[in-house]
Amino acid sequence: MAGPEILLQSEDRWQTRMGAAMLQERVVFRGKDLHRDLGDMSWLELYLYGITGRNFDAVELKILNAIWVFTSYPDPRIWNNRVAGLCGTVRSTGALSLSAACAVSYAEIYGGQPLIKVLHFLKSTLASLQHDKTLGELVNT
Amino acid sequence: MSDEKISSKIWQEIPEPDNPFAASVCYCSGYDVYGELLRKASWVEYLYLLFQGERPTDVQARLLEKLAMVLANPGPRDHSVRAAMNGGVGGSTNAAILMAALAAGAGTLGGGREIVITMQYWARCGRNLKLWTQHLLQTPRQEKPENWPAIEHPPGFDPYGSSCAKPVLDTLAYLSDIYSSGALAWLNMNRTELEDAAGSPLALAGVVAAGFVDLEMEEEKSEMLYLLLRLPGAAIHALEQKQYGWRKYPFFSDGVELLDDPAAN
Repeated sequence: MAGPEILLQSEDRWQTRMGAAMLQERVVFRGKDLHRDLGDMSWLELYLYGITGRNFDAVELKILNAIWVFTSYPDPRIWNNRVAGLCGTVRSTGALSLSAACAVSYAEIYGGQPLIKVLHFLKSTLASLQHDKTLGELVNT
Repeated sequence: MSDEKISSKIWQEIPEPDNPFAASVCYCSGYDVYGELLRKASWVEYLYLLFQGERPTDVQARLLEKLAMVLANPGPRDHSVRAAMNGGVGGSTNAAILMAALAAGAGTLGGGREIVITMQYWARCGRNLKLWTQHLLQTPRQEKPENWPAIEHPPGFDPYGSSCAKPVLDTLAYLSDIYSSGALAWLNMNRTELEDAAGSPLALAGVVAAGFVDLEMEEEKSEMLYLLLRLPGAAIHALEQKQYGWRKYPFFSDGVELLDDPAAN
């Protein structure tokens, strides 16, 4: 289906498995009752469940938490932090400051773009190794 | 089709006969945009119509055009342009670069919020020098809790300036020639007294706010225009620095002085 007919299907409704809030009743979060089923989750667990739909075990959460903690460099020289710092200097709001800093964090020389390239390299290298390529061959190409 | 609709006085669209999601004719305050305005109006006249709901007079169009030129590039000293350039040298997306410029151009120090507050002073003080002096001599107060931090300097004036910068003087002189009977002209005539009361030189934000007062532009509309009209300079400076690369952009490697280093104890 193409054209405007496909738009008519979602003009005034959302079909979603991500969730909804039935105010004064309950909130559904990815197929679970947020307060009854997910209320004991840590914020990181909920954040990861929201993005992936998966529950992570204690070891996985410890690793991911460590990645977040260990890469939290509050250095004013790093370019995304400089954006946040400049917003603070001009007395912009916290929300604007963090949004702008997050947005620029998908940068070419740090942050999001190298991360995607590294992930792609690791996945494709692993797949190639499983097809009898050697690491030397893969890294040197 | 849905029963819930968006209401608008400024814009009306007639749908294409074969597609309810595409507009066939667009009316801005009653004028056919693509059939009429595109041929007959300038960009600034259309912008004024969009914001004010009526055609500008020649003077209003000229004043808005010159305000747009004044704002078009705040220059690499400006926080919003610096934020954009930091996005550029890092290779962030262009949309993120403009988000950085907007966020760092929105606050109470030289940003959109300063325009709002300055215009509030104009609403309170008008062209009464005594009232202006009283207000400028007092520390600005935040009357009620707000999303924004309180302004910490007399609005419209540069707390880090030593004398009124030449572009500010040139702009004020020229704009008050365009509109010689309003806020700009009064500001030009009383600048030194106001600067004495503020303890700081007049800033470009102060001139621009007076310009918006003369255009009878509401505070929020003025803030919006200030935010978007300053983006071209941020955009092009960011792209230029992206070409030069991060190695040519100041990093200040030795610039951090850590005041609470646990290794120092």
